[in-house]
Amino acid sequence: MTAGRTRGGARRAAWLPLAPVLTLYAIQFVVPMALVAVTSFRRHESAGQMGGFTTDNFTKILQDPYYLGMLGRSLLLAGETAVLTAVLGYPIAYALARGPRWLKVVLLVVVMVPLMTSSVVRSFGWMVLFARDGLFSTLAGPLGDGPAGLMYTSTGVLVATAHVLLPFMVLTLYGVLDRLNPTLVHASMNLGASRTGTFFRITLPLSMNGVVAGMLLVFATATSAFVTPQLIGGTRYRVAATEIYEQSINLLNWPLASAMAVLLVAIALLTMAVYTRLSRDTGGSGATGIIG
Amino acid sequence: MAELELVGLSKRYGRDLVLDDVSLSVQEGELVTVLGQSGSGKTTMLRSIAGFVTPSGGDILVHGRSVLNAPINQRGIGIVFQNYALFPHLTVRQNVGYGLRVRRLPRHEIRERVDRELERVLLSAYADRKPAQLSGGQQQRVAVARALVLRPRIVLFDEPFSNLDAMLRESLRRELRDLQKRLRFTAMFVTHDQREAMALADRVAVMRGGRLVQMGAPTDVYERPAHRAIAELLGRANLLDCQTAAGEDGRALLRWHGHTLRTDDDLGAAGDGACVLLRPEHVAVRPGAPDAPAPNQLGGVLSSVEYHGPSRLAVISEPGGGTLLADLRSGPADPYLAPGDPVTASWPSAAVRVIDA
Ligand SMILES: Nc1ncnc2c1ncn2[C@@H]1O[C@H](COP(=O)(O)OP(=O)(O)OP(=O)(O)O)[C@@H](O)[C@H]1O
Ligand SMILES: [Mg+2]
Repeated sequence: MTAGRTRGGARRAAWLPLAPVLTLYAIQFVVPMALVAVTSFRRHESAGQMGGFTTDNFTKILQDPYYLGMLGRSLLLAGETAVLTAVLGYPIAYALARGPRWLKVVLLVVVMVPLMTSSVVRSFGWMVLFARDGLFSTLAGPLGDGPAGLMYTSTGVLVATAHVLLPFMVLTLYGVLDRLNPTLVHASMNLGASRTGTFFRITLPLSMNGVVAGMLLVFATATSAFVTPQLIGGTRYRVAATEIYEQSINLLNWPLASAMAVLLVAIALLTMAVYTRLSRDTGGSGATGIIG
Repeated sequence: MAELELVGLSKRYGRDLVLDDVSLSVQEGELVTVLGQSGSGKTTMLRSIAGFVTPSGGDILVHGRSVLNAPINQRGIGIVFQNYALFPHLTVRQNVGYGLRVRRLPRHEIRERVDRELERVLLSAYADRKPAQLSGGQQQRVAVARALVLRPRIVLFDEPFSNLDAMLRESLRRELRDLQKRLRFTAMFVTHDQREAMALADRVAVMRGGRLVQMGAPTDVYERPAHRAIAELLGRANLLDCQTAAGEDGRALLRWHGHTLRTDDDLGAAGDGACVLLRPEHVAVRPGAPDAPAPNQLGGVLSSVEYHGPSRLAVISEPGGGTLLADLRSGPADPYLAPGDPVTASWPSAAVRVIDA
């Protein structure tokens, strides 16, 4: 009894310093989300006017190919971004973990600096490159249309989103690769494996948790990416996040926008739940836990 | 021809000379233990031989052929790492079979050889476990099996038993010695533990500050250390700084705190002073003061006795201020010696070893 009460007390004491943050979090996130959730069940009367409660908004989104396509495009973009960042991020993270000092410094700067600039600035950067008469078009000019005119295309949005989210992937992978015992590589080669063989038999399997965790993180973030699709996709390439903006700000259909937002958040939360589960397994007595 | 030969091997990290002109050769089927203090370059030497470290100078020969340019995976030299370095995502069976799988041997052959090896190290029951589910000693044996299943001609061991308790260490040490004699591989075995070094070895190589300072049979290194630091590295030692003097019979004498020491060693090369090694187990102690002064004998007071089970370590203070350690074998009816008792210590002249430095 006493022990239980003491432990409970200790737990309560540990939470105490978090109280201000949690309060702020509640005001900033939980309350608006709750409002959005409530709104998503209201009837849309006319622009800016809401009626009684209904589930029509959700049925509409899940039955109308237009909205369904929007959601699908968001998920596809997120999935492609996750794959692309994994493919691009792995070599960078690997070099960060194992490369010579100078390379680490260079890569760290290259990877981290974009993280410190606003995504608006970065997206404008890509717009300059992608535009019809932009750098890419000029360079590829003689080769035909090629990579030119990536503005307002899915490829353009994918490339720009991947660029924005790459640091998260790299940092996640770096954490795992850095903890990987380098003696294992020597052991593998000593037993006769080549460098490539060692990579595929030892390094990659032991960092797979990191790859999956990084992809889930990027996926969850990319589903709600707004600035980049808005600036580069514009009106021609719409994803769920930009559609929500359109519905709520321009068309003033708040219930429909809210319903889409609820669906997006649900997908993101689900992904994050899997992510947390995975990283807890990884951090504990899992495969990568014991080799540190 | 030597199976493994190091010729003037050096390794420099920045300004530190971590391996300094190490030359040695290991014969076929020989087990050489490498003993040295922490930081003396033992691991660096093994890592150079295995190819993980590129030497700054010198050569490494296997059967007379330089392997310096051979990549790690083609040296055919097995290694057992200090921290085991088992692959955590693979089972015991997959760990042991790793090298065979890499060589793309047929499945059934891999299975057979792995099974046989697991049996040899008494781990058949654990074949499907992951390394994290094994005890330290079991992991150790997996590491040994993983290296030996490939039947390398040369196997390097880097303090493989250092994380284990004394009992397990001793039994694994004996198993390893058996295995090595049976499979007739050539081995280098690094250790911190002087008992382990002597118990396992055909020859002991002693390293100090990156240099190989002595190499020889355990008895040679123990009884004829080339340096006082080596004498201390290998076990308890009385190191007595003596003056040399001419005796009446023309033979040289050694004097230490007014006591006379006779030695069977040749004193010709020694100058005015000499360092003498007198192992504690060669010193006999009896109660009471000496009857008359005599060479290789001194009277003193017992200042402490440590009980070690099979023996007792006595610290004797002699009137001149010197102390002498004596290892007394425990018998069923020992004379009772208590601190403060006057005692007489004596030793044979064969036990008085003159050390160069
Ligand atoms: N990669 C490295 N860079 C710089 N110095 C190193 C490196 N590896 C080893 N050293 C230095 O070389 C010296 C010898 O190291 P080594 O690991 O060979 O010692 P050791 O005899 O195996 O010691 P221990 O008994 O503690 O394992 C140490 O002083 C160490 O600091
Ligand atoms: Mg070492």
